[in-house]
Amino acid sequence: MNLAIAGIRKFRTRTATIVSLIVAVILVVLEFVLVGVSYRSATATTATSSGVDKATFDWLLTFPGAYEAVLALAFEFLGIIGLIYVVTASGSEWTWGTLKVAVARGQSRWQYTVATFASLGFILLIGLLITFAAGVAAAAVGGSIAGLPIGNPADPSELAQVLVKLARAWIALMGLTSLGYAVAMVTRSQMAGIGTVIGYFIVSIIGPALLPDFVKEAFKYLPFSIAADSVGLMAPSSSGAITSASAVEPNLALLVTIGWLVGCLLVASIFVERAEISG
Amino acid sequence: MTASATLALSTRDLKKRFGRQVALAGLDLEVPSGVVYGFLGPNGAGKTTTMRLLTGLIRADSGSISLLGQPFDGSQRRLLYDVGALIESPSLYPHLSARDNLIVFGATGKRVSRARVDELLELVGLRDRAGDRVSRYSFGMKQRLGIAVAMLNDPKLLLLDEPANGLDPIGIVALRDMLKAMAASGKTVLISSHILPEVQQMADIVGIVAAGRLITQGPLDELLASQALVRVRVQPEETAAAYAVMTKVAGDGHVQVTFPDIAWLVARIAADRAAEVNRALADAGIYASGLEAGSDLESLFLELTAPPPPPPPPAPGAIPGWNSGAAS
Repeated sequence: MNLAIAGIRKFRTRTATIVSLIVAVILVVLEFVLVGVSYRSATATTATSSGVDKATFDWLLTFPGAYEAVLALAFEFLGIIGLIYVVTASGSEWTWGTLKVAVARGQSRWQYTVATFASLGFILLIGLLITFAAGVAAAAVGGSIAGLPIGNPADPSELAQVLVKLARAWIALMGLTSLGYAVAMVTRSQMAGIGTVIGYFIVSIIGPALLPDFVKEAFKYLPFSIAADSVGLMAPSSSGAITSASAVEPNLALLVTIGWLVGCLLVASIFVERAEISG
Repeated sequence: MTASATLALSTRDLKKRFGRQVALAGLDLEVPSGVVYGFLGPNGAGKTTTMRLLTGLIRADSGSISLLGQPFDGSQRRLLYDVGALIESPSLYPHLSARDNLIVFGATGKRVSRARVDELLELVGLRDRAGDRVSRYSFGMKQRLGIAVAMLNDPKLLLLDEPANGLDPIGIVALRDMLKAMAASGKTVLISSHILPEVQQMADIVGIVAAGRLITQGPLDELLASQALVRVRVQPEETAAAYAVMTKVAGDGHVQVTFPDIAWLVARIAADRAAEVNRALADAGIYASGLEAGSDLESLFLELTAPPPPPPPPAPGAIPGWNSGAAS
């Protein structure tokens, strides 16, 4: 526990932490303000918008649906930014030689590995909550710009759902970023970690278009897609109805995500435990 | 120095390779408790590899290590609770202050109190800058903080790799006094350094390694006494003649030219024969512009770690020298 708290102390004031958070908040806020502006412009020029567009805008800018939209966007942006952040933060344990100091002080290697990720997980939680709060405020502002009613943001049953989905989003973020953590720990480098993750990201986008169906099916269970599915978000369909956005059943997706999280931490811990630290 | 109970640290036939590169080829160290031990060797001799092995960062291919009387192969990590180490350059979090660095590192291994953090900041002279980001520190200040990190757990055995790097003269004197005081209080300090005069001032015992092996080890006074040297400086054009005269006095193979450009010659003979050397040179019409008797760590180090000399070619104009790649 002490180790994780010390980890939070070392990560909280890092420039990468603050910059990552600011970028995520700006992107989410900008998105909702632009949606509000777009809706207002569209209604001003065409007098009415189509039913489908109207449903989408309502979902984005009117509560309680806006909670889902904010969470979806916060997760999407934090997923990418958080991944790069985690790779950067964990890779520097090697490049700065600080892991070396901890080990030379008699610190258990696997405990240090897990505790460091736990600290990063806490930072991600704070980042998610701040981004989500900023997104909710931005959705209200966007709705106001669009001239839409705010809806019912204080519906207790919806709020309970939102809390559950926030918790799932946090676990999903940890599952997703644990991949970057493992890569950075194994490659001992920030750049190698970021390069590997970007490479994987590109393959996961291009791969399904080029590969046979049974391989495409497997892509659904890889960290990026399965983490998103595990949050259990809803989204407007092509017919305008609000339906599940998950390709894999959310509870199963959550289990697979936790599996990725545990697996990646295991790989990172085993590697660090056996590594010759010469840097 | 044979009873392991009195040894703070010992290694037996310690071997380590990195691929084809042999870093340690069977190192036998014996570091008694309560001393400052100077761990010396040229670049690539295996000093840093030894330090990494002693702190469990890497594992030996074969051989054994004993730390504070207990066998250590890297898996007995709690033994390191009583060991402090600064290996190579100080490894710190640049965005944190000195105090936060100490608090963060103090949460690893043996837990450390805030009072100890303040005590160390005072000890290494960083109290006034304790709140500044380390990225704004000079190299010397980072080095001081690295030493403080090594001392966080009040170690019984302190391993320092080039600790005087970047320190100003005041810092070097303070470091020397601190390490001597630690040894006087029964703690053990192993210090690796290239600043040999500095080591000579603080070490009780030295071990010299080269090519992954221990060449010599023992009390510094005894090692220096065993290295009887008379050094003579002559005009460069008189080097060959002086070499011949000194060889007659000291015997074949006992004279070397250390720095051909400035014509320093060294005869390996007792210091009290300096007058005899001077007289012989004067009789040959050579007047020394410098003459020193005795020994120092630097000479001992150079003598022990220099490549083996080939047979002497005392032909004029072909005077051998240690630092020219040819020797007597």
